This record gives sequence, structure tokens and C-alpha cells, in this order.
Amino acid sequence: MLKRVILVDDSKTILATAEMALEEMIGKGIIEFKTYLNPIELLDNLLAGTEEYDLLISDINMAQMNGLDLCEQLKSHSKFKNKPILILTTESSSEIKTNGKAIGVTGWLVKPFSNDKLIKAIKMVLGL
Amino acid sequence: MQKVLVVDDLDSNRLSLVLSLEKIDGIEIYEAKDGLEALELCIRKKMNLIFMDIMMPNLDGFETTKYIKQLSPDAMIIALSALDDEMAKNKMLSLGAEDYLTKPIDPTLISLRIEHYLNIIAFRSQRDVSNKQTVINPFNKQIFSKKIIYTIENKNSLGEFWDDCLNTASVITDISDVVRLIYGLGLWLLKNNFRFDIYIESNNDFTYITLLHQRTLRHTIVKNLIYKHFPWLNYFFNTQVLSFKLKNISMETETIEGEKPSIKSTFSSLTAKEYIEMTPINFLSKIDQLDMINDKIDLAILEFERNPGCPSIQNVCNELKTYTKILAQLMEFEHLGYALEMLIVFLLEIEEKQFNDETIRKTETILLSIAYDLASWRENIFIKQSAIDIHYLDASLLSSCMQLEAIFEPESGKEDENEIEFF
Repeated sequence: MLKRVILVDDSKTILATAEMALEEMIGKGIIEFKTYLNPIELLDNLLAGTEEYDLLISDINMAQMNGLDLCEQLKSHSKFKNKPILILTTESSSEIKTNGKAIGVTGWLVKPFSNDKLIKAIKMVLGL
Repeated sequence: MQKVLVVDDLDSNRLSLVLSLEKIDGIEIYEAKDGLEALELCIRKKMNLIFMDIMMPNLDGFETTKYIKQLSPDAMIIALSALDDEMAKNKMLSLGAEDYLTKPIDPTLISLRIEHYLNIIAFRSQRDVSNKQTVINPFNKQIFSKKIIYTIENKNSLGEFWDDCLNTASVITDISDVVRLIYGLGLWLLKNNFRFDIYIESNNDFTYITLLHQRTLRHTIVKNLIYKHFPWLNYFFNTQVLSFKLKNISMETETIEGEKPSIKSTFSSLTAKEYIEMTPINFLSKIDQLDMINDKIDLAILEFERNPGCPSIQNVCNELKTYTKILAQLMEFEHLGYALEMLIVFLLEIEEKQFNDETIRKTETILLSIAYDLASWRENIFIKQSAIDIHYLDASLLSSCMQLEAIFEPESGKEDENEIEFF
């Protein structure tokens, strides 16, 4: 079954770049890929049951909501607590990573990212 | 008026010197009978020229010189030494005295000497920083005439650069970071048989250290290195030079050892509402200008889509430059402007032959996205005032610009193990 990957980042550039990096995987039907500019919209849709994911990739510093807050809310929800989350961020301090780990994120990818690294990270998490 | 201080515990010595000084116009004369009194005076008033006896009660000339040089590095101290006291004289010079007069002082010669000292002091405060013809750094043409050049041909010359910069008393902020970075890059260049020059230029406020690499350093590798390990550095990088702009430390601003700002923490976290409240209304009128320029950027990018190539990219850059000029007038958004400036530098370096169907498509997509992000940012900060941190786009935009650069530069092949971490 097709794995559904959602990327949430308030930068359209990041969404566009990630989509370009995953063109081949999407084209070959390895993953479904959906992007969100607004984390609040994503959270609303997830809680309403109109959206779901096999892997969530999230930025941290977003205009409307901190990505770690988003992750914390999802990890405290029974439907999402075992779903993997990758953080894609410019933040690399050990303090923030520790916070992320405590919340239960699966991995940390630092921007700017290379296409290969993004693909590798997704494949490793989803076991592809 | 230049302030001149005479420090000597013997009244007669002070009087003799003061009488010579009184013949000179345009100076204020002060006296102190020992080092302690001199120090107290120097704390209250900035002295330009100090005649310092050596053997004095309470605080001798050595200690007083040391303290005063810390207080006022620019103050000129002239040691007053006894005829046969060579050791004391040399010690004073090593502590920061710039010349010495041997007692008893010849009154016929002293006036001329004093005039020379005062001329040098006057020159010190008015060093020529007019535009220079041959300037290496890309930041500022207004620099001093003095330029230091290191021609790096081997590890010894690189070591000399390191030693000169780091083992002398430095009044330059962040110099150790820059020196270590250039040293590391220099080792790589030497290993690959590239010879290069390092220039050090300066003016009153800044020092510029420039490595002339002539297309030998890889763009994305260097930028990633700086971005990840030295994000606080102000730098310029193109195919010819890697140049750093460093602030000279003044007495008013101290750097606190161990505290290095990052792009994320240079400015305190502010919500959009807080920012709007503290910003004068006339600043906020710039927002409409940003909106207009955003539209022009969009049009320029669409023109690039219709006629891809260097001329249309130049148009995009012209509009981005206007955008950065307006950004510079708003408080707090220095890093955003800096990210755009880096983007402009990169775009202008793209060669016509690098444009093909794929790079054109991807460039257009990313540029349109960057324009969208800027419009969104404007809306989140100034219109909706909904951003929880006004700097949310700073680091992200810089990394977005680097994603664009990666389109034109092949993968380095060297894995950066720090990029993915699994918990």
C-alpha cells in the first residue's frame, strides 16, 4: 500500500524543493506526498479525521505554530502517537534536539538538505 | 584641544616640562605627582599625550602605563627615564610607551619633540579612510592605506598568518573564528596545490579579511560550513573571494567570552504584535513599498520564465536589491536582508551555459516560492500580525537560497553525517 508522507513548513520554497527532490519517488508510486503551509490547518484536518499520514515531516519555526508543539499534540493523541515524525529544521542545538527526542520525534534532518539525504531519511523511516 | 598630562613625583621635573608645554597652542595641560593620581585623572578625562616618570611612590610608571593603555589604547605615553636606566626604558616601551625622553630634558629639543607627538596624535584621530582605488574586500572602499598581505605558498606561511592574527592582542571581534576557518580552508587549498593570498584591510570601525581563492573553493561546501558552524559571521563569497567583515572592539562595547550569537539568537524573540507596537509609524510606511516590489519581483520571475537567461536573472536581482534596501530601513530584519543579498550574489554568478530545461524549471519554481514566502512573511508580520516570532523566516530563507544554489552545483559526494540524526 502506498505510504503517505506529509510535509508541513511555512516556507513554500522548502515545500517546492522537497517536492522536486521526491519527484522520482512520487512518479514511481513509492509514496504519496502532500504538503501543508499552515500547521494549524494540518492539525485541524488530522484531528477531524480528514487527513492522515504514515510519516510526518515538520519544520519547527513556523509563523503560526511551533513545530514541536504540533508534534507534542500529535504524540499525545492515541491515533498518532506511534506514527513517525521527522523534524526538518535549521535548528541544530542539542537542547532543542533533546526536547524533540523527549516529545518522541523519530529523527532530525537539518536544513539545507540534499535531495539524497531527504530520500534516504524517508526510506529509512518507512522501511522502503 | 589635545589633553597633555605630566606625571612625575618631583615638582621641579614637572615644572620644567610644563613650562615647555605652555609655549604650545591648542593643548590643555594636566599634572599628577604619582601613578595613582595619574590614573584617577585618566579615568575622569581622556588624555591624548602623557609624559610618564618611572620611579614614583604609590604606583610606579610601569604599572600606571599598563593600566592607562588598557583604559585608553590610543593614548600616547612617553617615558621619562634617567640617563643610565636602559632596562627601565626598555620595559616601559614593552608595556606600551611609544618613546622615551632622557632626564634632564633639554628644553631646546623638547618643543620640537612635543610638536611631533601632537602631530602623530592628530593623525591618529583623522586617519585617511577615503575611497581607495585598489580595494580587495567587497564591503567597503573606505579603508586605511595600510594593507597586510599574506602570500600563502606553504604551511609555514599559513602558520604565520595564524600566529600574527591570534597571538597578538586583538581588538577585532570574532577574529579567532575567521582565522581558524581560513586556516582550515587554506590547508585544503595547499593540499590541492593552490596558492593564494590573504588580505587584511581596515578602517576605524571594521577589519576585512579576504581570501582570494580564484574559483578554487566550492560554493555549497563553504557556505554549508559557515552556515552550520559560524552562522554569526558576516561574509561575502563569490568565485573570486571569500571575505569577512569583523567589527573592531571599542571601549564602549565589550564582547563577552564564550557568547556567540547565532542567526537564531542574534535578535530577541518578538511576536509580530510586539514588533508593530515598538516600531515607529514612519517605518511601517515601508510595508507598502515592500508590497510593490514583491509584485515587481513576481513579474521579473515570469519574464525569466518567458526568456530564461542572464539578462532576465539580472532583472530579478535588481528588484531583489531594491527589496533588500527597504528591508535595511526596517529594524530587526538584518538577517533576512543578508539572506537575499547572498541569493543575489549567487544569481549574478550563474553563467548562461548553466541554464538548461531542468535548471530553468527548478530556478523558476524556487524563485517564485521565495517571492511567495516574502509576501507571506510581510502579511504575517505587518498585516495579520500573527507571527509568533518575527524572525521565523530568517534562517529558513537563507537555507532556501542555498537549496537554489544546489541546483547548479552537483552533489559534493562527501556525506555530511550530521545532516540526519535518528533518535
